[in-house]
Amino acid sequence: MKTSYWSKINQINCLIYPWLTTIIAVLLLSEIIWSGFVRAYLNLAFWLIFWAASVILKLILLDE
Amino acid sequence: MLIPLKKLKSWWLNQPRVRQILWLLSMIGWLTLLFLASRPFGLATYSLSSQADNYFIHKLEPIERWATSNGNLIMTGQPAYFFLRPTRPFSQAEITVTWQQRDQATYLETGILMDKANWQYQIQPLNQPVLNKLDWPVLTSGSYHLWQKQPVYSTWEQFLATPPDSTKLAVYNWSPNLSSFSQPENYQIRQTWQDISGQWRGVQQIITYLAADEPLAWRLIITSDTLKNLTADERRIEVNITDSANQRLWSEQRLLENNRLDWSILAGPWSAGAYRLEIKASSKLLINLSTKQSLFSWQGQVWPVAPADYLWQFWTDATQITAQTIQPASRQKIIINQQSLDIEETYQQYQINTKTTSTTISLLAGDIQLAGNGLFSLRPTIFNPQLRRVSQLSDIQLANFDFIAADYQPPICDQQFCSATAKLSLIGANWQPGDGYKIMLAAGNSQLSTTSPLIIKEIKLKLSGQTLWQFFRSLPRRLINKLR
Repeated sequence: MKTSYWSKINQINCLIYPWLTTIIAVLLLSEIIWSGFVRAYLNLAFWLIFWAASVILKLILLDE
Repeated sequence: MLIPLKKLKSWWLNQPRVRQILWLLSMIGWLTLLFLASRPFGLATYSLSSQADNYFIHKLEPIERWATSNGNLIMTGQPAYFFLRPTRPFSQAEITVTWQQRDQATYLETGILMDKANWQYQIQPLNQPVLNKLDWPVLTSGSYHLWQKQPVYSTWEQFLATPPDSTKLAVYNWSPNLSSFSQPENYQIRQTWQDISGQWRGVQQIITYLAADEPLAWRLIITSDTLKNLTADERRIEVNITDSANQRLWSEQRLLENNRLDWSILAGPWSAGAYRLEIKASSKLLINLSTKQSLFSWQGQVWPVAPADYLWQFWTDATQITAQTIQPASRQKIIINQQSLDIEETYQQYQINTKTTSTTISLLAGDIQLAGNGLFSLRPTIFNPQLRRVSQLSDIQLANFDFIAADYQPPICDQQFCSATAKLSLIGANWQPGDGYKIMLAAGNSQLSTTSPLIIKEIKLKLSGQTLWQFFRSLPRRLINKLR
């Protein structure tokens, strides 16, 4: 039961992790090139927290 | 090129459906951000109705002039400022302020910082209660209004073609073309230089008369009396010459080197008439002036500086005079039309209403800033080619005029709120890195306090500028200009 629960999370995290990493990289790069491009409309900190959660999950689940 | 495309296609097809949707959503999101940041149609509207975080309209200051009891926009002192930070350049801002009606008269103006070194603002009125209530017959042409004590003109064009006697006409927020100005009697072109006594601090707005073949000739010796190092902005001196229609004819900037700058300004000749010589210099600099011009006066303000025993005498047609000093040693009693005005404290403004258009001011040594709604002269005959400008009209002032012409749009009011709009040009406005344009809300003579604040419902800024297409079309020209 526990294994299938973690494997489901692992599956979802594997799906969104590369996407989220690319999105964060693109948003940060866009903000560096054009100040205000992202900050004016999106909360970058929120997206970074989201990405960090995904990274932590990835590390934990890989250990599992 | 084909291989990466093929690779991309096979990569895309191998992605699970959920990830494909995520990629598509992120692409749409990024394109939306690109659209919002670049505003391809050259239009953007930003608004603020509370002190909550807003990227575009932010940094309301000084904090002691904004009530902090709740998050609403409540001005308890004036002037107050905020910053406008659009994501791309625009050329014009239309600012609309909606405020709650107050028991006291609310004079409201807005402005944008143009020159940070000299704290110069481009100011436009939002609310002028005296003009709003003026019951004289009024002529309207767009935003131009002409109030007439007795109806004389039936159209604005007729008024422009045959303006009334300048002593009977007051202008508010309007600079008409003064083509009707005639040559002063017995005017002689001076061939020799005359040194103007003392030194002068701050921005100089000198109105001078030039005959048909007379060039503008001024010599400046600029030094610094501050012990601190000057910043690059403070070392920069800009001189502009404009004609009576406010068209710039000549402009140059120079930098102070080794705390000194000697500058001979020779420009023109142009057609006979009144011209404005504007010297923009930091208040940390002192200017020695020499000229060949015979007729000149200072518009709006003078800030003379001289040794302790020097007695200054000025004549002005300003009806309201404000005096201030930042030097403790310059505190003194100045004499304005035999009336004494005690400048007891530094950084404190002292005001006097003279109720006359011919005033004598005497002061010792100087380093006192005198400002007023008129011209200042070192001679009893004040050279004034301009129409009388008014800022806050009183009944006494109104009695002196038969006509008031203004570029002013009165606010639209309902029982609770009033809303007024002013246009500000963003071209040449000062941009502060990270913060953007500094915008001022001034409510002079409105007696703002914590018990009688100005409650602002909304500040809305409608920005307009180049479209993306116009920007791309202007690129080759910009590149050529840069290469030159």
